[in-house]
Amino acid sequence: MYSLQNWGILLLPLASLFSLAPCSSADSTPVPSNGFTPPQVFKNSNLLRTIDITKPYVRETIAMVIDNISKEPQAEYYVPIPKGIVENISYLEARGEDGPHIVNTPAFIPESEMQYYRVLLNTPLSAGKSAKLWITLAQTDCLIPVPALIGQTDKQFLQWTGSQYAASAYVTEKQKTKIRFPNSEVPNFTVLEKNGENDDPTGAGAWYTYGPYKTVNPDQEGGKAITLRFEYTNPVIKMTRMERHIEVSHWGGNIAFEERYWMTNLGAKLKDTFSRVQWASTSYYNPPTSAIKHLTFPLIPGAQDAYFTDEIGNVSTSRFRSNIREAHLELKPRYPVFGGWNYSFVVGWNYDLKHFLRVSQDGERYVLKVPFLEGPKDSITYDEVEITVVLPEGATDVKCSPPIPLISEEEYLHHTFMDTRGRIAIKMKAANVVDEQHKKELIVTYHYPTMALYRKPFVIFTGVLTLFTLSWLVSKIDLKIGK
Amino acid sequence: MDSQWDSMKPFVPMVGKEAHLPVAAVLMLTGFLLTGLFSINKSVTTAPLLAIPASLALGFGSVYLICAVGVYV
Repeated sequence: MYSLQNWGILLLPLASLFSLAPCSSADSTPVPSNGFTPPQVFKNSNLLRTIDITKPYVRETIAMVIDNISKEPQAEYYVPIPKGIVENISYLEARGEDGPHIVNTPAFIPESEMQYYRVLLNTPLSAGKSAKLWITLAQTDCLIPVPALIGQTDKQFLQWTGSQYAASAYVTEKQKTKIRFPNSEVPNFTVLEKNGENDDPTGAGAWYTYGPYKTVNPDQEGGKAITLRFEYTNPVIKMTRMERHIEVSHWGGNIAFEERYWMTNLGAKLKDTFSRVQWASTSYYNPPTSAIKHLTFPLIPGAQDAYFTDEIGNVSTSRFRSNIREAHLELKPRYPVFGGWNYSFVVGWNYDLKHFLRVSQDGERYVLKVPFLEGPKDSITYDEVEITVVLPEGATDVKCSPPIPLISEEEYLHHTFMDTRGRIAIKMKAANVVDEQHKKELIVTYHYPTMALYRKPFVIFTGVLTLFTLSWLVSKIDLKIGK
Repeated sequence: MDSQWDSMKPFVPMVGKEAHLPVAAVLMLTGFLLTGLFSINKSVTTAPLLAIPASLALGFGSVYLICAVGVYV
């Protein structure tokens, strides 16, 4: 379970940058030392936990009313996450009635069983008052295919294990958990002892409800574990690595996007060998399957010159439809990617630069607004994401504001065609990203003097002129023999 | 950020994408023509008249030519 990659991801809390500049007035002292328990200054009441498992990663929304039971105003609310889960948390956001709250990620303490996220309320809650609080988080890599081996045309079932009660550092008065599945086929679920007169859980179609429960203390640590197994005959797509390269060209008026994917399927593996005959004969009916058959990229309208290649060369099983209303790119890998299989490929496309770049009135300051992540519209999780933005040669004073926390950000010189000094490039790395974070915008500002633009033709001009001068000088050399 | 974005003008390149190939062709051809003329009569007087415009045309022409074939530098 703890692979080398997971330890790398644990560095995220230690080096996280909240680059949404306006909000960063937060106190960034790391959350707890060993043996920390948050002071019992809050009490939760009316907690509704909605667990959405319609995608192959888990999204949890906890809506509750928090009461300040201490005598002073309090502004810090702690959310506990067990040690084994914290590295799978893609994002944790908090929101109140007055807008989003700042969340500090925990500095990972290996000895401590519970890691705490700190929510800083926008306005401190006065003693005795209540406020509504919503916490949303996404957890990846927690659905296991059970059975782990299936036939090619069999249904796939995924299993989720969670806790009966919502994880909370404070006493919770009344709570209920609702779990939502993609369909109503849930063959196994943990049945707990009856809650008063009603069954626990109660199920209605695709929704299963555990609770309502009365007073729960934090030392009950979530109560009993509940396990539910549901049908999900769709691929569980994970990109172990994704590299996105954005290159801005002022001469060509073009912005080029290139994405490299290393894709795998985390679903159930095949019991027998893959039968191409059976696959081809059933594919006409297009049944639901656990293999990745195709990926659909809904690009921003105006995309041109799309290409799809892999290590072998161009992959012709793709369709690209581009007009003023849509730019629809559909890719089919060379083979259906079943559970445990891998496939890597490269996709790229161009746009006119005027949709993404704006220039200030004096013609020297530029602002580039591009989607941070643009990918398939299928449900995807990414382990490692690397975004590189390459700006024209001679750009200075480069500032960027990414929409999600990053592991690292570096600026370096990128050398490509017709470059003399090299272009400024920014490389940003993030980890454990889910596809809900597609379409968030990345903003890069830079200063590009017009003189820097003319550097390219000027270099060639000087080169050719030197050649002419040399040829004229050589023509002056007199090689006549004798007088 | 958004108010700043709205007050700025969208970037328009000097030569649009459709015009890259014709502009590149015209510039490169004049460049080669002037190079040829210069190579026939090389002297200090003809140099500024022929060599410098030739180098300019070849310089800009090669940038637009490389954009026309799809490598947007």
